[in-house]
Amino acid sequence: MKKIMLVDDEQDQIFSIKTGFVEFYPNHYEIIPAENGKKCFEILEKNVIPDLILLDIMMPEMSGWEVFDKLRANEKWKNIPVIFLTARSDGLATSAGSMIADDYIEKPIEINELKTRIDNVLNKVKKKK
Amino acid sequence: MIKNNVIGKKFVLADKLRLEELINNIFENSVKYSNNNNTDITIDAQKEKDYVKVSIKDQGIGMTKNQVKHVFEEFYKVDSSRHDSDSTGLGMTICKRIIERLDGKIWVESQGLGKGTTIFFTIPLYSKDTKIGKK
Repeated sequence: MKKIMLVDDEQDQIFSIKTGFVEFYPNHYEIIPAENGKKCFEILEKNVIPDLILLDIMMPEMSGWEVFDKLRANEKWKNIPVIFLTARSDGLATSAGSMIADDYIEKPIEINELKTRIDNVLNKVKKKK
Repeated sequence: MIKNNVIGKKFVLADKLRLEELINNIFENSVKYSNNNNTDITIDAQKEKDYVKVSIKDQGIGMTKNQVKHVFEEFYKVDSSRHDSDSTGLGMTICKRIIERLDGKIWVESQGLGKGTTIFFTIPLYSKDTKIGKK
């Protein structure tokens, strides 16, 4: 089962996505929730390395951009694929996110679309290897 | 006594506080109009196509057809003889607004006075196409 870390400060969103995957795509992904950037790095430090990170951009304290920079600056974590989650109204984040990350997804999102996008990125990574 | 006939999980995506307010209002009404007679209030939930249909059935004072027609109107009280200072007569109106925001429906059925009341509502089920997150 692929490990997907979901970094998002909105607990309801984490619950909805996690429940959606359990309900509609059981045994497909293991979702590792992290409610902020700090928690994300705490988990990574414990050597729990996900196959992909879903990263919300608009988060208090440490934004998705900062988390992304820190990931890319670290030898152990720099190759973890990242998909940004952006608000539709945030045009700058959308264009920048699409350039620097492996993919970006505008909210609101649908669970089937999210699964397709995650699988696409994971397949690309697999081909590169 | 509350009887829970719900079998299995049914997922919906909704504002938790609004959903609690909805359920609380409905149960308050059911309890109130059961006249505290220790009768049963039965909750059930069934999947129907893309929706979950929830019913809350009491064995209370029931309603006439005319009362059923007006139950969601603002400040309407089924039992007008009851001068309940806590009751605003807005509970069911609020329920209707909450349900409509969730793209669902709410309605009431009663076989008549003394024959209890059932409140039904529907809410779209959480599906693969449900939109998650704010724009």
